[in-house]
Amino acid sequence: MHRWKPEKVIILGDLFHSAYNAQWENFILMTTRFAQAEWILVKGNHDILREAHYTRSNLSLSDYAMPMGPFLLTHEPDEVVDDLYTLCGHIHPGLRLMGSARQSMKVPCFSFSKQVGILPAFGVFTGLHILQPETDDQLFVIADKKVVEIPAKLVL
Amino acid sequence: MTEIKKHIKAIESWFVEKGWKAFLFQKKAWEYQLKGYSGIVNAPTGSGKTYSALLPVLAPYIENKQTPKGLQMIWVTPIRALAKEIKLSSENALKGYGLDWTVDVRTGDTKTSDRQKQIKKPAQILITTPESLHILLTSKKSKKIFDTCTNVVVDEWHELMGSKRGVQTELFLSYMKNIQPALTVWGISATIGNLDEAMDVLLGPSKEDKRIMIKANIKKKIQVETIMPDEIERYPWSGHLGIVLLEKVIPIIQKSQSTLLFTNTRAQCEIWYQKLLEAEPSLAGIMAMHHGSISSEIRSWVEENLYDGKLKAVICTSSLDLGVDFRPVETIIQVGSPKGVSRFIQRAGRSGHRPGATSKIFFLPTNSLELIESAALRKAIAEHRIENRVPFIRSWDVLIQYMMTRAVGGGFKEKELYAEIKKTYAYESIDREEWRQLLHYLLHGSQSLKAYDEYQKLGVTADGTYLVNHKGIALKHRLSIGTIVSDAMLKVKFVRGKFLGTVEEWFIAQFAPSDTFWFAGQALEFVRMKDGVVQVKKSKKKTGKIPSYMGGRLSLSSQMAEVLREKIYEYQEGTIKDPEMKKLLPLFDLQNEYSRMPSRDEFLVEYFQSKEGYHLIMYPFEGRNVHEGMAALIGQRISRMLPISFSIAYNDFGFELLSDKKIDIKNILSDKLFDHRNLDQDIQQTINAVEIARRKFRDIATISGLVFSGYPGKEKRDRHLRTSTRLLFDVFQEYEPDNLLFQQTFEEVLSFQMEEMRIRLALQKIQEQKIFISFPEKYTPLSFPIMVDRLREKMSSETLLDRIEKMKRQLIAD
Repeated sequence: MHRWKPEKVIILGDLFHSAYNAQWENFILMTTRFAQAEWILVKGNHDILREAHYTRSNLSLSDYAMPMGPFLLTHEPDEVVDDLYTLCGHIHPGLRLMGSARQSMKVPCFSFSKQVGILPAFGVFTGLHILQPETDDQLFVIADKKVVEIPAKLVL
Repeated sequence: MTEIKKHIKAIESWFVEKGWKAFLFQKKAWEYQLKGYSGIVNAPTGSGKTYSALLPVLAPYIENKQTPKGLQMIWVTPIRALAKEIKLSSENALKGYGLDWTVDVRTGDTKTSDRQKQIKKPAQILITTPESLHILLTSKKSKKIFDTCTNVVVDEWHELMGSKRGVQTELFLSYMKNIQPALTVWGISATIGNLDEAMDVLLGPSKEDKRIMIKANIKKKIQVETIMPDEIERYPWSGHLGIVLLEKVIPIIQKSQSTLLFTNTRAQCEIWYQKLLEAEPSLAGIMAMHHGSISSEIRSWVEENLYDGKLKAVICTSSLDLGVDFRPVETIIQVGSPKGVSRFIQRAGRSGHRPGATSKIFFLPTNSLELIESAALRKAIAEHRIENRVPFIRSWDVLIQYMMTRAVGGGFKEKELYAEIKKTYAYESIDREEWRQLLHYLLHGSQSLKAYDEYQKLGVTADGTYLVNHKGIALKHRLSIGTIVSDAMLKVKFVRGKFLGTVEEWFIAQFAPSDTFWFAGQALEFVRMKDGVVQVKKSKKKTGKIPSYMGGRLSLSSQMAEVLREKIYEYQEGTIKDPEMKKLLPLFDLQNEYSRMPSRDEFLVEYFQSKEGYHLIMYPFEGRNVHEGMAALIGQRISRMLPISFSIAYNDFGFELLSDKKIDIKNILSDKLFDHRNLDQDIQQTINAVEIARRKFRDIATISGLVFSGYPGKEKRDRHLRTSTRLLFDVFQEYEPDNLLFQQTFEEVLSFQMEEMRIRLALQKIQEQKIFISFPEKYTPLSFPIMVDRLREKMSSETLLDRIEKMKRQLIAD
């Protein structure tokens, strides 16, 4: 936030995967601290806090998919509109990488297909959905603060 | 005649009438109990141990046929099934003496209406379990009931002692001793390695009371016969099923009146049942199955029919280790290594119940190397090397649960309760600071959880009584009493409603409607999941998946491991005599030719390359638990020297560190690698220890009431429970690492799971041995079973980026 000073922060759903607790107050604190940005939540299936909690924050809510420039910002990947590129979250995409000597690991990834880009979830408790990518999908994982492209044909 | 002699005479009157002769140990037990002693009677099942402890309580009332008012004796038993039998024998004795006493059984199966009656009008004798006693303590009327009771007998104490149920028993006894200073406590125990300690645990460490150990000295003869594969060259080197030898089992079953076939896991049990039925259809209807996931209704049916001699064979797991004697059982078959001497003796003892009869047990090896264990078992039995049962101490989870129990049952004063529990073996070493932390936890939740009011459970009154104010908290607590935390299981029912048993959530998750699986000995078609119940119908298909259950892998006990090593050393010492060992000679020769059969003063290490990578295999022969810890430790120490990733596997013989990088093995195998100093620190730092602790924390969180597993019929899903305990664990790890429950988790992992003490001793032994490094061309008879194990742990000291780039390169190269 300090470095890029974004005008807008858009959260693609499932911001608060729980009933209300003290963490919500911490979140509100953070949004007030960076009040120069506009905070937007595209609501996901887990965003179930009572209305009042959202009202107290300076979040703008969007109940539906939100077009913005060439993008359609959604929570779930099956919302697709012609001419717009969907950016979404929801499924927590991940890849399983295999190496010799029975090495294998699962890592969160970005996945960009022709019309839909899915962003990863990095939380420890969020779980991963291991992707079965198409050949022309573009896949990226983050390793030690670097972005590494993984050719889709390697994980097919 | 003294009072005591008079009483003994009264007891013997019934024996005379029946034409029985009392055993010496029985007479001794009567005498000392009447003298006001407490103690332990060490006697095997079926030897009249029940009457050794029961009759002195009746003795003073026999002459005048009196019925004293109120509860006289509590009989604690570890399993519900035994309660019925104890009730029968006590009623027999009461009838014999013409006494008009009543006997109540109170277990988890007792109906609510009966429980209320038992509280209103207590019987003279109460037969019950540790859990039921603690639930009774939550009733404000309990003190009135327990007030009149002067005798407690704890049956099968060796069984209880090695678990947290033993701690529950200790706590209950500390309560009883406080309200009843004249209390006598008797434990009945089978032979274990640490009987003296068992007495201290039961009676408390203070030794102020009069106490005595009475040994029955009844030795049962045990005959071990191995079911040998015809050609050792063609018998598999790894595996755990042993179905190849099924043809040899059928005649054994046919020859004896009734046979119990023990398997180590429930999955094995299902498979053996199915395969036996296929091979010998005439067994249908006279063969049954018994394991812990089958409904208790079906299990009782099996037990009754076995008792009545209507079953030719029962395929079972440890679920039939304990319990009532089945007289028709003539033969026992053990499939696969029993891993421990006392478990094997216990199972052998399930046959040959007539006094003086020999117990016969067949051992069926499921792979070639298990033949060594057969020979080792025979040696261990002959030399009487029986395992210790290690008691739990300082189990804060159980203590917290007990403090809640006392708070619900009328409240407690903290100084009084502190003095009470400090007299137990488990909490002898507690100090005021630890006690203060526990009280604080119950009043306010822990340090890091005080923001959440659901963790604030107790209140204090003006006069300093700690109690529970909310009915909801009291109810939740009553429902959570107990120390056995099982995986959340889903009920399996026929669509029409009949309950079959339970399976684990993840097993069912793989099915779609109309898929078939085998359970409780029948092929079932998955219909649907409804309200958390797996609905099924019978299937005509022959094949289907078989549920496997977690936690089926036992580890060799230290006694077994020791005898096993001695057997292995026989090869180089030229002292092989057992038929099993002779049969294995070709395999040993092969091992010695490819690599080395280690001798007593050698520690064998093998290093070789295959297309999978570089295999580093070490053989401490200490059992899988110890190897799990050692592999993590050695792996971690190597990965501190150079960036490397390992895939780790282990079995009872040794462990493997597999990597894709060649290492200079001679350089790495230094004394430092096997150093036993700083061990606990090094082990705690392994990812393994943290991961195991994280899993283990679920039990501790459940017992201590940190998490609630749900109201009856509305049990929380396994996944949810696991997630919430994981979260709590991570909160403690980050913010409150000195939390007592968090600390306890690591202590339990170190001492029970990883058996740190044994790792230490094993490392010391390696220091004294010469390291024998061999570089075989390919896998060896000893390494093969480890290499093919698919259940693997991982460890890496390479950066994520390096690993990903390396995998990319490897993938592109392929």
